[in-house]
Amino acid sequence: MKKYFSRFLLIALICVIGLSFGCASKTADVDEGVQQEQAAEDDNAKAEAEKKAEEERLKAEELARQEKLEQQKKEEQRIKEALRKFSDVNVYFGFDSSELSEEARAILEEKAAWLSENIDAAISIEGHCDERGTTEYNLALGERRAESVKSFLVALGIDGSRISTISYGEERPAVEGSGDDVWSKNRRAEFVIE
Amino acid sequence: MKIKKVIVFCLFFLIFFSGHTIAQDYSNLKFIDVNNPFINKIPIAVPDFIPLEKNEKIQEILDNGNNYLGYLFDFTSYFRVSDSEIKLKDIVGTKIDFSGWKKNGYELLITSGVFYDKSTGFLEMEIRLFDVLNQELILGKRYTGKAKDYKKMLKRFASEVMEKLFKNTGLFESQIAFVSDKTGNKELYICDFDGTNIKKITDNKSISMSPSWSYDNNYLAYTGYKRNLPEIYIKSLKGRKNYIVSKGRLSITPAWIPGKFSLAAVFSIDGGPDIYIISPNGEILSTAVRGYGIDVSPAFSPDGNKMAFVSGRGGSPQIYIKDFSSNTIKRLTFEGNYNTSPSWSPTGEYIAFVGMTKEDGINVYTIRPDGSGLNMLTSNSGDNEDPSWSPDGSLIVFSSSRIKGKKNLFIMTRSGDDQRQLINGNMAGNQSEPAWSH
Repeated sequence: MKKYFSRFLLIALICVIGLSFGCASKTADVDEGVQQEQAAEDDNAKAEAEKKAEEERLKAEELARQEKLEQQKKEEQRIKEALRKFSDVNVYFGFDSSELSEEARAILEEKAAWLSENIDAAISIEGHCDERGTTEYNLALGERRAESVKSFLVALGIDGSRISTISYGEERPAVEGSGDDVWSKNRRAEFVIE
Repeated sequence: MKIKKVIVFCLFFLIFFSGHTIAQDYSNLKFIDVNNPFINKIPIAVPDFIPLEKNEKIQEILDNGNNYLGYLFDFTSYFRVSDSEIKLKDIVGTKIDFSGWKKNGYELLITSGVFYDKSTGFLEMEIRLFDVLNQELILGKRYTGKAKDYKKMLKRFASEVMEKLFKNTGLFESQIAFVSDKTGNKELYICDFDGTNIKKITDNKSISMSPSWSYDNNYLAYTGYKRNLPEIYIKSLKGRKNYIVSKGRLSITPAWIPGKFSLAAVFSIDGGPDIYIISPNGEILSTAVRGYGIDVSPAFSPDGNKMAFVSGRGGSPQIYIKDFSSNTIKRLTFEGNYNTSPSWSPTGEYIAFVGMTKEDGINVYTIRPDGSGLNMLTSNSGDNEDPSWSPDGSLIVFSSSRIKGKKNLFIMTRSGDDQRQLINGNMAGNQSEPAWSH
């Protein structure tokens, strides 16, 4: 900003000098006066052009600034979205299984990428089961699910000390009710950023 | 230690009341076949008690005693109690005219005489159980104690009648611990054998589950999330020291070892969830079962030499038995792909468990420890889970979602007869994981 202001002062100074020349030539002859007028006109046009160019430049800079801001916003959005995706996207399991499906592995690869990008993040993996089967067995099964997710992330290079696991068995269903649809949504591992 | 316990036990009964056998014991008499799955309830008459001397102190017993004893027999599901028109004139076998009872189809008859001893201020009660058909005395007892304790004496007598059937006693003195989410959190509760006298015993405001009674009934072990991970809590019911056992990320399914102050529990400290033997202060005494996959839900045989448990080692959850003397493991269940929640009967004859199949849903079964005699006890009645035996082995308590999908506690005989709700009226929330005391 300061830079622009000093440039503006310089232009103003030139104008003032130009004007003072004009004043000084009052006693000169007509030809000279015409020539001088012509020179003054040239000076004015030059100043005008410079001003315009400066305005253009300012505009461009403002545009660039806004673009950068936009990009920053986008990046923030991306990080936020990645975070949201990390904690909102669950991994699902088959009945009485702690095996990772193709789909689960793909999701976990994304999660590993996020964990590599966010090196300070520590997470907790919660293992959950559907309501069928016994409470006690499901506690053990939930633990196996959380552990198999952890092992996969560790195999992808994530430091195991950043990951804790807990089993809730069938105690915390994501969806209440019964039926295949409900059950498949409840057999899951959830991700909590600590 | 043992002698001390016996003395304390004797003192207890001296303080409250004392009981003596007053006649020959026909302990080998088998008046009912409890192993018959199609059991016919045995008709029993419990006529009014007879005052051996008039006294206002015994009026309450005379008014209520026979009804209460009838209620206890009815509760067992093994007897059919009905009112009889016949008036009892005397309590001694030689002076009873059995013909009337016989004609009305009764097979058993209870007689009781009540007497108030002014010199001691104690109540005396003689109770006899007769075989009507053979006109024989089966059991006779005399109880002495405070008049207000008459229900305790009647429970004791009824318990001894049950002992004749099942070799074990203690049904009517027992309690049942269970889980209820009535408050919005799963907390532990205790009620009497008949579902009355419900008391809330935890206030953890998180998840509390899997209660297990110590063999002296002085402690309850359970799994709790109070500190935001599953740990084992050992709670004294007598106001003594409590313990927390926590090993790594998973400490669950405690089960007391018969006659010992130690338990089996599941930790995930070396690979999959495995079963360890621990002391209440958390010391690991030995590894009971360790293997590939899940090992969970230990349940001991009454002699403590064997332990049933659930394992996923065969590809699906099945029940296995670990024999500690031979150090071998044998698979017990082969039907279906999902068998869990073993509970060993106090008589040692059966293991109750939960089986899940596509066709039948989730049901309670029994099987003999050698793998024979598989018997399905529930069917077409919601999800039936968490079986636990009464201390005499006559009844099984379990949870069922048969009424409006809400989990409630039910009881049934060991052959699946007479399934009924344990807690009368509506207790809010879901009730599950019942554990019958010893």
